Amino acid sequence: MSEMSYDQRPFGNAEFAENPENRCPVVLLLDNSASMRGRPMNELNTGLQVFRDELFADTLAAKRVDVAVVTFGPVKVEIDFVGAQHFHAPTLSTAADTPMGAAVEQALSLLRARKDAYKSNGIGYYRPWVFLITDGGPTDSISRAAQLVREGEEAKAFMFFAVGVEGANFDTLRQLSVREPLKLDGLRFRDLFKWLSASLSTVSKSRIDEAPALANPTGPSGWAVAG
Amino acid sequence: MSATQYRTTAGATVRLGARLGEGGEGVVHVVDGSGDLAAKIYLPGLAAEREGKVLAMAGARLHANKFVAYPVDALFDLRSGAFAGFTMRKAANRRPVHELYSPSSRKTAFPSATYPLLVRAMSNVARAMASVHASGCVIGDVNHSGVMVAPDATVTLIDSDSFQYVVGGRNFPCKVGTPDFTPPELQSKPFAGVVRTPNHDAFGLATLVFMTLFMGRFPFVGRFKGAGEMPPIDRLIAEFRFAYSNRSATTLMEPPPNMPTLADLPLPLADAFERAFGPLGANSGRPGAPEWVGLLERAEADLVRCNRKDNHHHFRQAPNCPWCRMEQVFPGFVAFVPTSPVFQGGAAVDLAQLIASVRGVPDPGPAPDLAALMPASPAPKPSTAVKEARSARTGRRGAALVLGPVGLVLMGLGGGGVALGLIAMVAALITFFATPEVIEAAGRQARAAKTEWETARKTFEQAAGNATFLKTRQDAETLIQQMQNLPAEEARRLAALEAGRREAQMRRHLERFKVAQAKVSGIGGARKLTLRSYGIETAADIEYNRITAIKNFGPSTASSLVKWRRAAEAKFNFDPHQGVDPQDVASVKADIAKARSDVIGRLSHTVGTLQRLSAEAKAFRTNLDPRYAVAWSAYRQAEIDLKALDLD
Repeated sequence: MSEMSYDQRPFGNAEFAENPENRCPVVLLLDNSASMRGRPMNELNTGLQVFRDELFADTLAAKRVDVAVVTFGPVKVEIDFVGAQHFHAPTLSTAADTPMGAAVEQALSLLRARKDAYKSNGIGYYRPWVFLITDGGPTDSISRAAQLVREGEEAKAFMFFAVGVEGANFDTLRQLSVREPLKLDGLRFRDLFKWLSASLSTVSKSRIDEAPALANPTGPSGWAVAG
Repeated sequence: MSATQYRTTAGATVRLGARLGEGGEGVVHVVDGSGDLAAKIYLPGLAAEREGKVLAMAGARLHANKFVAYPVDALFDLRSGAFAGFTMRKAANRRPVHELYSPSSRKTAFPSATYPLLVRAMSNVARAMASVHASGCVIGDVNHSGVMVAPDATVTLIDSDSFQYVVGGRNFPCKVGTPDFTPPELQSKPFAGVVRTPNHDAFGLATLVFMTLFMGRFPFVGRFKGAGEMPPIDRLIAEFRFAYSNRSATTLMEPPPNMPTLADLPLPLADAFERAFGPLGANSGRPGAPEWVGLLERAEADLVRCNRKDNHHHFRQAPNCPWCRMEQVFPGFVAFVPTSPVFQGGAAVDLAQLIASVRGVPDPGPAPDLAALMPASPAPKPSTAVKEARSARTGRRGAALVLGPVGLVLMGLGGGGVALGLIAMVAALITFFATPEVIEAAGRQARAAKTEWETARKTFEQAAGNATFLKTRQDAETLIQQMQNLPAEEARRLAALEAGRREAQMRRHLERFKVAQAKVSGIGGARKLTLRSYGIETAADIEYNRITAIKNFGPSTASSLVKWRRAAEAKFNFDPHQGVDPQDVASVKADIAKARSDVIGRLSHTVGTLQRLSAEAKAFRTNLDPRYAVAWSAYRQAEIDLKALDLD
C-alpha cells in the first residue's frame, strides 16, 4: 500500500458503526480432504447450516459472534470474518491433501487482522476461538503452527480446540492443541455445531457462579466421546 | 415434557397456551384465557431454589408495579403439589433493549425511533429501576435482554425472580450477573455471598444509558494508549478505564475514532458518567436511579433538531450534529431511519401485505462502474519523476547510438580492433535496451497505483452492489415457500395423529406405569433417581438403547426394565371409540403456529434488512468516499506514466 492509509479508515467500516457490540470471533478450520467425501461432508455441511440458524435465532449472539471459515485441502479462506447475522453457511466440497499446519497459520493470521480491525475501530472483543475439525493427519509440517498455538494460548490471545473425526491422527492433534483434543461421536456434526453456537452465545448471557460456562461435550447427551 | 395445567396458591387451575420463549432457567408460556398473563415454568431441578423468593414476592403483591414483571401467583404441579413456576404480566409487543441501542437492530425493531425517544426510554429504565429499589429489591443482573422496550419508549423489567429481595429479615439473593454490566468492585468475583446494592445496579444503569446515547458503544472500549495489548473487557472495567473520560492520563484510553464524545452532552450528564464509571463511584458515589431520572428529564429540554436532517436530533451543547459527523465518516451508515412507511410485525399480520413488502423493496441493481462516477478532468501530463526518468533513458540511448557506430568502425579496422569493436557493440546494445533503475522505480509506483484503484473499484462494487441484497431476498423467498407449505404440513400431521390413535392410547396407557412405583429386580431407589434424571419416568420412556446409554446400566438391567414395560403393554386394550386426544391436536396446532410466527418474525426482520441493504448500496453510490477520487487520479496518472515509459 502506498500513502493512502487504509489502516486508519478502511472501506466499509460502517460495519462497526452499525453494530458496535463487543465481539466474539471464531474461526472454523475445516478439513475437506478427499477422505471426507460422501456422508461426512454432507453431515458437515448440514452442521454448518444448523450453526448459522442457531446463531441467527439468538438476536444478541447474532450481533456478537463473528465467523470465519478456512478449509484445508488446499488452504482456502472460504469466508473471511463476517457478523453472524450476515453469515451464509457455505456448502463445502471435498478436495485433495491435508495441509493442516499451513491452515492453522492462515487461521491465526486472519484472526490477527480481525483483532486489528476491532482495535482501530474501538470495538471490544472476548477471547477468540479457533475450532479445528479433521478426519486425518497433516500432509505438511505442523511444528510452527503448534508453536503459534502454544504461544497464543499462553498469552490468552485465543482458545484453540481440536476435534477429530473417526480416523483422525490424535497424536498430531495432541501436539497441535494445548487442550485435549475431542473425538466426534460418529458423524454428529449437527450436535457439535449446536453445542458450539450455544457455547458462543454464552458470551452474551448472564453468568452464574456454580454452573460451568460450557456444557460438557462428552456428557451423556454430548457429541464427543473420550478420545 | 412438562404438564400444561397447574394450580395457583388459591387453588385455581391455570392452563398454559402457546410457548413464548425459553431461557436457561425455564420456559415461558401464555396463560390461556388470561389476556395479559404469562407463566414461567422452571426446568427440572431449578424450581425448589426459587420457591421462597417467588412466594415472598407474590405475597407482598409487588406486581402492583406495572413496569416490572413480578410474580403474580406461584404455580404448583397438579399431582405432586410441588412448586413449579409462577405467573407474571406479559411483556407483549416489547423488544429487548439491545435492539434499541444498536443501530443495526434499531432499524428493524424500532424503525421510527429518534434520539429523543432513546433519551425517554432511558429515563423510563431509570424510573423502573428506582421503583424496584424502593420496594426492597436489587436487580443484580442488569443486562441487555432484561429490559424490554415498547415502541412508545415505556419499559418493562423482566426476570424479576432473579432479583435480590430482602424482606422481613430474610435475604433472597441474586446469584447471577452479566460481565459487561457488572461494576468494577464485583468483576471476576463470585456472586455467592455478595449482598447486591443499588449502587451496583447504578453501574449497570449507567452502562445502558451510555450505550443508548452513544450508538451502542461500550463505555470501556476505545483506543488503548498504554504499552502492549488492550486489556480484556473485565479488566478494563475493573481498572476504571472509561474510554471517554477526562482522566485519560490515568485511563490511558481515548474514545474510538469518529464517535461522539462527552463534549456532545450537557455537562451534568457528562459528569454523571464520570462518577458512574470512575473510581469514586465504587464507594456508593454513583448517580442512583432517581438521580438519573432527573438528569435525563432535564437533558430532554436540551435536545434540538439538526439543521440539515429532520431525523437527526442532538443536545444543543454539541459543537455540531454528531450523527451527521458519523454519516460523513462512515459511508453507508445511517444513524436514524428517515421517516417512511415501514412494515411493523404485530399480532395480526396481513400475510399478503408482508410478502408484498418483502418483494416490494427495490433491488438496487449491480453497482455502476466506479470509473464512470469519477469527476471528469483533462488527461494528466506525465509526472516530473517520469519525465526525468525518460530523459535519463534518452541520454543513455544517445550514448549507445554513438558507441555502436564506433564499435563498427573499430571492427572494420581489423586486428585487435575486432575484439575491442565487439565489446563496444555489445555495450551499446545493453545500454540501449536495458531498463535503468529510475524507470523501473517509476514503473513500480505506477503499477502500485493501478492495483490500488482496482482494489478500490472492487470494494465499491461489493459495497454498492446488490449481491448481498439478492442473497437475502432469496432467503426470504425460501421462507415464504416454507410458510406456504405449513397448512399442508398441519394437515399431514393431523392425519398422522388419526392414524396413530392406537400408539397414542398405548403411550397414555404406559405413562400410567411410573418407574418410581415399579417393582423391578435390581432397580432400587438410587437407580430410580438416576433414571428420573435421564427423563425416564414411566414405562413409555423405557427403551433398551436409552437405558444402556446411561452409565452403570448394563444389558441385564435394561432387559429387566424392558420386560417390565412389556408386561405393562400386555395390559393394554385398544378402544376404537376413543378419538384423537385434543391435547395432541392442540400441540400440533401450537407447533405450526409457532413455526408460522417464527417465519413471520424472520420475514418482517428481512424487510428491514432488505430496506437497509438497498439504502446502503444507494448511499455508497451517492455519498462517494473521497478516497476513491484520490485513487482515481493516481490511477490516471499511472496510465499516462506507464505509456510515457513504454511500459504498459
